[in-house]
Amino acid sequence: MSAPQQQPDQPQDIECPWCDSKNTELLSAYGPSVAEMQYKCLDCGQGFGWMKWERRLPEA
Amino acid sequence: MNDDTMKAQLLCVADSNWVLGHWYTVCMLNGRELTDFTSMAGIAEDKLGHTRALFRFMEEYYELPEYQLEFGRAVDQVHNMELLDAPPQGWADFILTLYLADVAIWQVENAVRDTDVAPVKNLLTKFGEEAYFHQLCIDGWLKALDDAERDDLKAALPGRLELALQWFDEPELKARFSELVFNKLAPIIDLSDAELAALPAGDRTSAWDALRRRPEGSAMPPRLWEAVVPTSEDALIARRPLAVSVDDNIDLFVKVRKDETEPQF
Amino acid sequence: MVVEAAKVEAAVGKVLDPHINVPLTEMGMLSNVEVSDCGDVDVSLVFPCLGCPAFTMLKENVKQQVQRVEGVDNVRVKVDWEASWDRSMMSERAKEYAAKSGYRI
Ligand SMILES: [Zn+2]
Repeated sequence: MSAPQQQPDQPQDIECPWCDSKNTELLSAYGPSVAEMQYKCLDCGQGFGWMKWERRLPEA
Repeated sequence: MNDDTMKAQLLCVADSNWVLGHWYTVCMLNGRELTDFTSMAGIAEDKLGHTRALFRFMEEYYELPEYQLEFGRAVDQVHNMELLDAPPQGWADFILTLYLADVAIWQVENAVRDTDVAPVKNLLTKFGEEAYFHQLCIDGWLKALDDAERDDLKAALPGRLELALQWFDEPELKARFSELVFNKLAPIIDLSDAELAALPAGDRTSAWDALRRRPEGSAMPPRLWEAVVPTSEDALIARRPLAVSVDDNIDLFVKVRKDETEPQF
Repeated sequence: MVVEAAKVEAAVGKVLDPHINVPLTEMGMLSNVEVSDCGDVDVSLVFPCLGCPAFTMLKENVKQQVQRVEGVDNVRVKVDWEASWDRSMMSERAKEYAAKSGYRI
């Protein structure tokens, strides 16, 4: 059973902090802390945390 | 909305998040892969964080004794939603109930957000920003159900939906909630028109406590309450949050140190 | 002895956000400092995450640091419920530092 994968509502164009590429892929919705999503950079191969301070609200 | 109504409403969302947070902590080990565990741990932390932030804010705002809301109430003073009273019957029922609870709680939080009390507006908006990611996760779990689990979800739906719908006092919130739920679930479990029509409408069958949004005189079952606020002395020490021990300068290990005759390691 | 607000602010800056390891002041988490004539200090903080498990630890760390400032008698650290934290409140330096530790803000 897999956890959340790429979805249309998901934040797009997340930039790699190591090489600034936007060619990145979601690894996990939560990381070592609640504030981050874990991504992998498809260009430099490094993993990184993206802080999910997006200010988006659920559908109401 | 007068202050007493707002207080009751805030308790409804704080207490429901409180129990929901414990659903995640208790069921976390049923995750199936690493990302399930980190997500459930993260969401549990957020939900309990929402609860405690609201508790601390309300204790200041309504001039209640510190930690009274967390440790000073009897179970029948808690405003938790009845939807979360019965434990999950399986993975599909678990995910379904997390989904219904999250969407229902946000409907009410979003409505209460429409207030002139700035801190309440801020807090509830912040809850929504974090719930956005909880719902993203739940979406993923719903999409990842296998055929057998989709059947289980279909079977669990009428019972859970009934309690979720009963929670709403506001017709417009209830209608919007139904709409969101059907839009989300219909493609997943393939509901026919006849099946849709047969789903419960959430009519109440017993006297209703509008302040607590529960049947009058009802409370969560004792075993669930024990998970939320343990009463045994040892459990209390183990579960007493750092927030309390630091503020009161309580030495959590005093019990161990008390008996000097015990062998020292 | 009058307590200088700037010194209180500098003391808060000695406390690091445990996640990104930058000073709370650079995280934009210091929302207000009030100093009374008799040495009472009120510090208000605003938090990026409500579920922050370091909530109380940070309050305690701030209290300890501010207590050391010359002329300070009582320190109260509160949550500023009126404020709402946003990533734009972080300093550029803090964002760059976070990027070097593998965090995209
Ligand atoms: Zn890269």
